[in-house]
Amino acid sequence: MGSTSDLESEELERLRAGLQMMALRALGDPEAAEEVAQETLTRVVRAVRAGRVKWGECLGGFVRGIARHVIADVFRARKRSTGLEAVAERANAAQPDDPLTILILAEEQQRVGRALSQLAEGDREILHLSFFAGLTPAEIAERLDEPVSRIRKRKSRALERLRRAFHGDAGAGHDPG
Amino acid sequence: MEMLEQVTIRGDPRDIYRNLEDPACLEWVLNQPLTCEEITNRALIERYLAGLLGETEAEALESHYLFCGRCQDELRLAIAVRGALAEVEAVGSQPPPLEGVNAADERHAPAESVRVLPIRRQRVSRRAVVTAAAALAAVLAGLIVLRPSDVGRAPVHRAETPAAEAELTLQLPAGEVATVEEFRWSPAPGANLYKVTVYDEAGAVVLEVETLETHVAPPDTTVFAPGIRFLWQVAARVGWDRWVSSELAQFRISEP
Repeated sequence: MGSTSDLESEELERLRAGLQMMALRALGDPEAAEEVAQETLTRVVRAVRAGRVKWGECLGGFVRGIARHVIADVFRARKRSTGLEAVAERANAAQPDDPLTILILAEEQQRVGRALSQLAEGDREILHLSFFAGLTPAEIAERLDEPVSRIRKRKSRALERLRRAFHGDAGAGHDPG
Repeated sequence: MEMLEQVTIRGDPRDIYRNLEDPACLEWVLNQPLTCEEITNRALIERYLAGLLGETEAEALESHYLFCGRCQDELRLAIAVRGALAEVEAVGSQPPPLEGVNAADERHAPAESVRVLPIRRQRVSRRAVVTAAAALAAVLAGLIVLRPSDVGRAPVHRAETPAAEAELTLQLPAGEVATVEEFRWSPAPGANLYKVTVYDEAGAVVLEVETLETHVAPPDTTVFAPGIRFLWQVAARVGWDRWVSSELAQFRISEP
């Protein structure tokens, strides 16, 4: 561990994907996110080659720190070149509500949508409270006045169906019970 | 086991240890990496995408998923689920638009008062930005006292509820502050949802977040630059399409 030859391409690609998610969430711009991922990877590989850090999972904080610096640079560059008119134009530009949806294929989104529509209304409500209000199962249980174990089970079962649909399992979404 | 499930820790459990006097012990606690199981149990991915994680939790989660294929998959699934849920909300059973209300503006409005609206980026018209900028400039210059209804981006359809409006007062942050840990305000009677909007000096919206509580931490992606004055406002939903708004308050991050 520690030299560039140790850097498996699979690991690098996983890191690149993670960096793109992080940057896309911060910047809302796929192109800028890709640039941030590339620049961060370059700096990380350079640091590993120079022996300043060792490659491995414990690098998470280090890589994240570099990525935040690169993202901050992009923010600063944007601020220098952005006036009020540009703010208004950008606000009016057609863009999806959630920039991260660009990471999802249309087909995957449709499959999950179909599976979701087949869930019980109560299960959808649990997912809604979880994914939009950010409530934990315990908080949802309190709100819906149900045992937390039941909420956990319902959420986990509903998510499993959606997960199978997301990965292309044709039978996903159908409730056997 | 059942007893353990009754215990709810809100926020980052490691915050409990923040006041430890032994720096080595504190450092050890704060440096403990997250596990995939912990991420699932604490709904960290869901809260991350909803913009509800504090800086410490977001840092821990991002440091983890950068190297974790499983959690990256879970993130992608969560993004797809959020998209599908928003779509269901948009086309699902919703009451017909009220007279005089733009149906497009109410696209994500919940059918039940207990449902939470998705947090989303709203598009601002150029006119609204310019109007807000001009109004805020006047406020900053001390020329006028601004009412919420003067701001271009205030909710468009608001009924008169003077009692609730009178009690909806902003508490924190106010004036010159070192950091913005959270926004806090007094509860409005009958409110079932709050919307917090923060504007910069140019009148652009820098943060818009919805919550059921009377406080909310800004997401880690929002940076309040030192030396710049910000204005913020809270709108409380007190019934179906009935909103009341606070006065605007201002704060400024002190320069180091």
